[in-house]
Amino acid sequence: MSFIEFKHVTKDYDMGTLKCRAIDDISFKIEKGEFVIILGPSGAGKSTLLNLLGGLDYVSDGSILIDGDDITKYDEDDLTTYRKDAIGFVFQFYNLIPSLTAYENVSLIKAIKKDSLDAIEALELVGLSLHRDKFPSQLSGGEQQRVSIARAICKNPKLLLCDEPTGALDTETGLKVLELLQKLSRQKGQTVIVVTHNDHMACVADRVIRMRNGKISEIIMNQSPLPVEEVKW
Amino acid sequence: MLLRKMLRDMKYNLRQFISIFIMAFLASFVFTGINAEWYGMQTVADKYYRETRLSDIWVIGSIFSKEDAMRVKDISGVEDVSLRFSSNMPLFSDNNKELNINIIDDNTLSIPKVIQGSSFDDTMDGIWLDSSFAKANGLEIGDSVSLVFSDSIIEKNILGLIIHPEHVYSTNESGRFTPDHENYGFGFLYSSSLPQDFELHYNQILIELNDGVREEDVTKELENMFSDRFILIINRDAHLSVSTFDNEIRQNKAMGGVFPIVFFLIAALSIFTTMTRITYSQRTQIGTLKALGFSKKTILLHYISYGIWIGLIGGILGLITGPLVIPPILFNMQKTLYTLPEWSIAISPVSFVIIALLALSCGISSYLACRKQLIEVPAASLRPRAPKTNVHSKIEKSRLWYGLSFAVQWNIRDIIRSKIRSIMATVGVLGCTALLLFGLGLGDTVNSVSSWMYNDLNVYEDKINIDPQASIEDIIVLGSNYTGQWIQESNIEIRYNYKKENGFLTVLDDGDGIRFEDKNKNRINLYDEGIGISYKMAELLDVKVGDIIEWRSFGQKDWTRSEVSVIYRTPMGQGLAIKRSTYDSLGQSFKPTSLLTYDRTDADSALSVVESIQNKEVLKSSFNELLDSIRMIIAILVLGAILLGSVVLYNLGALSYTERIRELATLKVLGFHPGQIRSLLRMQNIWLTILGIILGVPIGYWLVGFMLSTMPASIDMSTDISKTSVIISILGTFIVSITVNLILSRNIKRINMVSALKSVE
Repeated sequence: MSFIEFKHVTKDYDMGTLKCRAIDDISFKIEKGEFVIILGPSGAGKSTLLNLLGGLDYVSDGSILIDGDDITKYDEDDLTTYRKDAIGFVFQFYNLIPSLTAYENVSLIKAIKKDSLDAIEALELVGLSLHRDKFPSQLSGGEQQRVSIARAICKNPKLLLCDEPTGALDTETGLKVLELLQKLSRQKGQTVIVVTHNDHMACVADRVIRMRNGKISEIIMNQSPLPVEEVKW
Repeated sequence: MLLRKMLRDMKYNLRQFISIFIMAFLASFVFTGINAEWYGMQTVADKYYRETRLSDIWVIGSIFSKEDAMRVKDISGVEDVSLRFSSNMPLFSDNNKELNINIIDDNTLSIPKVIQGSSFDDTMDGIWLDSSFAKANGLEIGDSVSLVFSDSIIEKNILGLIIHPEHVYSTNESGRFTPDHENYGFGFLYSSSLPQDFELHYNQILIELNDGVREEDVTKELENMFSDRFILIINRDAHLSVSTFDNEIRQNKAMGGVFPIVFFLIAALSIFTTMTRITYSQRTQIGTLKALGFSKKTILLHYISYGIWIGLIGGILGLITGPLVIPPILFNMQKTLYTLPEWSIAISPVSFVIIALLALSCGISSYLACRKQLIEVPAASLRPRAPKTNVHSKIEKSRLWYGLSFAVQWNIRDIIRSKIRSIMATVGVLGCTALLLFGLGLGDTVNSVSSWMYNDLNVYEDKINIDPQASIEDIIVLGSNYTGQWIQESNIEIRYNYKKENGFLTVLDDGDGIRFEDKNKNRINLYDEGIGISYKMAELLDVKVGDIIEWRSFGQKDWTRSEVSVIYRTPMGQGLAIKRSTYDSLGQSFKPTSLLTYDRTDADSALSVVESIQNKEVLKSSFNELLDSIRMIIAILVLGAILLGSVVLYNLGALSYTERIRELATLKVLGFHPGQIRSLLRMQNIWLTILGIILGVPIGYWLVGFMLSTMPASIDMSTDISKTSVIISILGTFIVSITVNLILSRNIKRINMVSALKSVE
């Protein structure tokens, strides 16, 4: 049995009179420890897919199995617990709490999860231990994103979900972030799923899922993914 | 971590949170302050009454024997009785000064408290004197006091200085509000110290009831027991001192309740608007917290805690400072009216409940404000908010709309779009106007009562009170020397349809010393037929013109029936008024108690016929002393109003400024001058101020009426607010509103167009 399994998942948005199908009968599998990239143009349903996987939204139809559990059967409380224990999120706009310092943003997790990693350790892992007492507004975009990754990994999640993690960054910084994510997958066996519209990133992943109009157009397994350092785009 | 987030959020929104804090603090400060004052007075009085075993029922008659007292003691429910003789006696040295002298034996009830000197001991020969009277007259222990009683003079040395639970509010003359310790006091003597030839007959029975005994049952028994003679049964509610003091406490309670409610409301409303804005702008943060796995409950508690902390800290700070600051100010003026063994504050449990409620309502406001943001699924909260759908209001659809200038359109839209903010601004202005008008109107009302009573109704100059012992001949001699109106005043009971009230009877001979006015203060005269009843008494008894009422005066056994021919209005001394001729025709005999002269008299108060002379100006100035005490309250109210108005308007102004900063920056980019933008903002400010004033004026009137409704039954005051006060309240509100607006609009110059328009994040 696969680590993640999508079975005929559909998601509709109710826009008043208009019904919009963001995800249309999708099925696929992801194995443990894989570095997965979901590719597709804007509006293809990538983010929706990630939100469903992360327990941020409800499916309209179908089921999602994580490690054998069907999360579509979860109620709100179960989903909160699921997000708390199993999921680490990295957002395009970092979404740090502006009134908390880098260190405080990471140690926020301690408030909900007792067995989380030490915040300092997590910051060291992303190479930011020197900036721990800075507020988000005093950090660059790439630094902020690394804080956000530290926040996500410090809870030791089953799944690290990244929604356009490099979308707001310049190429150089974006690559560094990507490198960090790949490193986490390679060295720690972390399952990482990255959503992006950047085609050049495909070559670094173990598995690439291409989406178009709410459907999967193709799934490519990379036998030998490139290390990020060798990527140029 | 979330606690730190809260503290930093508060720091970034300091202005808003400080103003909420001030409101919460003021609500608690004023409430707990006034509460500590009256609750302290009540606690001290209760203890005082208990310690001195203040009588529950006073039976007043002309002669009671020891056997009578024994019979009363046998009534079931009566715990203890005491007999005493009580009478007002003038001082030999100055018969304008009068002492209420009580002669006791081994009494156990209503025992005075000794402040200085020897304690009560029936082997000692001397007088225990009212300490306030002694102080006002420079008397000390060991000095002698001579009293005139009937034809004899009693001379005693002062053994001790005392205070007495029946004289917490100590005044003998009707028509005087404030006690006059220089001319009226009380004293206690043992009967054993009286001269041999003194014929002592007890005229009061004091009764202490068992706990839980119904007063009415005992009263009924007493009425049956003494049905053969006239007695007056007074319970604590009817006792002048006890009831006046109770009324004072009730009024303080009412004031302490009304005033903070406004602040309370404003605090809750401001926290609601502020939290709405904060949670609105922290939408993504809420989504993030959710995505990180924070439960809805944790996030909700986080935002609720903003309100609870503010409410709690403001409340507790108010609780600490209010009882320290307010009671001393109020005690100062209470001391001129009441005599208590001590003046200490007491914090009632209600204060703690109120603070809990304050924190709770701030918490609930926060909850309501952020609930909206939490309903959405986390995925939705993470997306930027869909722009607010603008539904065109009715006015925007009407043809009129296109005729309006841009500024008017812009402001109408803004008010409609931010309803809560507009409502709050209106409520703040309303509170400001209402409190200003309440403060000034209260002063006006008391002032107008003074001029109504002493200029319109009592037009006499001097009131010469006649010694009850004076002979008819002496009175006739007096009448030949001074022109004026003879009146007879006495205490009476009035009954109608099973309702019974104690009141005041005035019988008027021909003359023009006292005038009458109807309900609407139009001058009227008493009719030759029937009897006049005062408006408030008529209301109490539910009597109309044409009804037959029954009344009897002190010393009478039989009831007299009279038809009510007129209802008149008087601020004090509710009861009946009748012409002498009518009174005589009822078979009563007119015995004048006072002569009202139209000019200042030079009557010698030493004349045996004259008991005392009251000058109207003196009465008036005693009444005006009351005004002084009210002035303190007015000052507090005015200060509160200004603070309330400015804090609310400033808060809202700052709030709308941050909310609309992009809008304002856009206008600036488009080329609007700061002056134009300012006038745009000022327009809305003025509209809401006018609306608040329009609503605030009637509420101010209502507040004065509410305050007057807590006055004791014997006082009839009607709301009378001068135009000047109304104008001052309105102008004052405007000044506050415009000043705040000026301070805020300075910010417009500082709007940085680039940074304001740069990013949504």
